[in-house]
Amino acid sequence: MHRYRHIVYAMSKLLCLAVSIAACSSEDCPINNTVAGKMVFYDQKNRPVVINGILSVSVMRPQGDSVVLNQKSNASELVFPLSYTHETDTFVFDYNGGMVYDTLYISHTNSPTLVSVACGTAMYHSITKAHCTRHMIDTLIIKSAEVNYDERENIQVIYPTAD
Amino acid sequence: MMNAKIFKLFILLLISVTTLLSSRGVKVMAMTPTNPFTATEPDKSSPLRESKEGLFRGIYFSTDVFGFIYPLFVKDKYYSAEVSATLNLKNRFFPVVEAGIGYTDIVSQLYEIGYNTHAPYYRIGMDYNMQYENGKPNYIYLGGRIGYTSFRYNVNAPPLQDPIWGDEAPVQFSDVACRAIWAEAVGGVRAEIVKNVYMGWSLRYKYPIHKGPIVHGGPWYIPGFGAGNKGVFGATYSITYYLNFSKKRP
Repeated sequence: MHRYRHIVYAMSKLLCLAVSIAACSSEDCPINNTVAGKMVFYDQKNRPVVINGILSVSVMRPQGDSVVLNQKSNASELVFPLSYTHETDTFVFDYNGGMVYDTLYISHTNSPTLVSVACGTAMYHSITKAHCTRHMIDTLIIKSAEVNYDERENIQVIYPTAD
Repeated sequence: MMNAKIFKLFILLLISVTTLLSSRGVKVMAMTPTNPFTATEPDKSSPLRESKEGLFRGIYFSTDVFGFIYPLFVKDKYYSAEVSATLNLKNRFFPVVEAGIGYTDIVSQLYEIGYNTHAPYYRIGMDYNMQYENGKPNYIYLGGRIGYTSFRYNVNAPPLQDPIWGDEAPVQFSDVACRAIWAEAVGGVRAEIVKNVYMGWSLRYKYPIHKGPIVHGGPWYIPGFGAGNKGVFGATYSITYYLNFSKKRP
């Protein structure tokens, strides 16, 4: 009987150890807390460029435009939100305080996503189409369609090469 | 990424130790003196003696109680009930089949996300007795498993509020079908407490191999695997009955 008591005692201690280790498993939540797309500006030779002067970007909504980027000097990229319920969003690029405008149309799907029970939910998107007016911009290239927490470069905005 | 490294290291360690002990067993067999003119009593701890007792020694029937104990210690509760059958081959190799049911029905306090599922799961694998030379019923083992489950889950979360457009998007998924396959590295002990009745525990590192189709981010909890997208630790604490087919004790 003494032998059994010894074994049961040892097994109980090992059970506590097993519970401790198993309960240590944790979930890694995304570092970023915002789902947003990213545009990066390039010239036609695929070299990164900055926009000379001031750039403002607003998104058109039924209840009025919302400013996404406010009078940024030497902008080289744009982090932009996408609508949770609409399938196409319209962004207006305002160069140097209204001297020139470009309008970008970005079509996308919306996918409500369970990140995890511990980390919450989020709206992920997949960009299906991107086109624009060509006052300053030459073309848009979809580099990575998936918009999530990863902060990938989604769209390349190509400007005409200066030289 | 860190979990993947730990898993690979664990697998490497497992293979190394198993190989080391196996080769040690072979060496002992090779070095056993075989003088044809001397009648000697066979060494009871010798692997040669083990080989004369036949391949099949018995079956262990186990039930896991850890699935009921574990939820007492964690915040997001999920339960499992599991049984297994293990063949004893030469008291050294233990092919095993495990089957169970995983269950969860929770609402997280932080985000008020409701998640529920229940489904059966299955595992097959093999354990290796690290102390097979002792010939004793208590032993330490290392092994591996492949797990499989096919299940459906439901998610009911508060709607997402669009910060720019101001709209609300519902987050409710019903009856989302998913299948999962995973690998497990296992280490544990089994000890006899009364004749033919054993208690034992095992620690497991589980790593997903396949999960799909992935819709809406994929499942949070997978029956038999646990919660999480990467490798997770698990444990079993089992009570076992041994059906002995050998004349000798295991």
